Amino acid sequence: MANKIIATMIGLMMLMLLPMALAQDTNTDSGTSVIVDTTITPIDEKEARTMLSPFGAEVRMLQLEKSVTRNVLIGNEVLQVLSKNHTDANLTDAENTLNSLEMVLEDIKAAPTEGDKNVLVQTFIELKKEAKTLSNDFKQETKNIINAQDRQEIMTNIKDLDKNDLMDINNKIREILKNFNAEKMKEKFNQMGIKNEDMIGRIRNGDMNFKEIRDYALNQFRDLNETEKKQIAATMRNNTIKNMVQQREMTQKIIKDLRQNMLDKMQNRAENLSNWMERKALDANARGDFNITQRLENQNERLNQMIQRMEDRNGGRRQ
Amino acid sequence: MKTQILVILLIASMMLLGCTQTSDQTNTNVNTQPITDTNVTSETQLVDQEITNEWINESETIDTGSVI
Repeated sequence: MANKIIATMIGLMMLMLLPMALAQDTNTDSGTSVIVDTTITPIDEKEARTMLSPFGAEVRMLQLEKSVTRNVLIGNEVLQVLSKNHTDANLTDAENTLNSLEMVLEDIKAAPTEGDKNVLVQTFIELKKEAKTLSNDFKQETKNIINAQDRQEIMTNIKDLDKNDLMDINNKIREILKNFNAEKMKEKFNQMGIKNEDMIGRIRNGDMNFKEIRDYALNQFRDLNETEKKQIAATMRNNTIKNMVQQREMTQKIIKDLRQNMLDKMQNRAENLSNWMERKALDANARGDFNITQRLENQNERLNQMIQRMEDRNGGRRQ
Repeated sequence: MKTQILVILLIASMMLLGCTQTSDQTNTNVNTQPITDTNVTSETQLVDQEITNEWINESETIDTGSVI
């Protein structure tokens, strides 16, 4: 009898462990088979919400351009250091990934910042997710080659990146933010019944910092009577909720096809990589940048060899 | 002896059950995103929050991951 009870208990325990084991399998599977990041985080939502406001799309696209430019520049530095310090290392995958990231950067620079808000938000989210996926891929492809000494060398080489290479984009962001913040504060002032065009003009010119504006607005608000305060606070809250709902509806629509859209995009990018590299090599050649020309030609040759090997493995049929 | 084994198995089962429930609880917390912050205690705080949330600083960046 006791043996039967023990056997039943063990059976029960195994049944309880089964879902855990299956859950573990699912995670492992998603870790290897899911190659793109298709989650929409609260940060993504906040960034998307900004795009609904005047100048918002320009702000977000420029910020995205800066972030991806930074990764491309650092990625190039990583490849240079690794090809110098590890002459036998195979960097083909990392080179292809970085070229794809550079293609994404070109798309970001060419992306629209006006028009249908649904399209703007969708474009922004897809490009951001693709850039993040490729940056992570690059990191994974180089992590087993890179050592502490390489890392130190790379860090030294990129320490002035923000001051030098990203200066132009930083200036562009600064200018567009003045307009964005001026429009936003104008909207908030209107909701609060504050008429101060002079102050909006000073925000637009960059003559006022955030603390000064915030202090001014809150002092004006404190002078109001309780009924007015309640009314204004309710209006502000309702407008914010309305914007949140509008943005949520947009992202819900986007998320439905996000994974498939991104997979299609990444496949197209991989197919166009060879042509893109040829064009880049010609541009670099025309500029007299022969080092880049040579590097791209070498990469393109390796890419074509890789494509040829894949075709051979597939019985001569291009997939 | 058999009774001891039974008791140990029972305790182990209960511990496993507890772990699963804790894990579920954690996942639920992660996925729940409130649409508004309901901790606002006064109108002034709400207005302050509205102004602060809408302002974008130059230092704000978009995270596209790291390559190194």
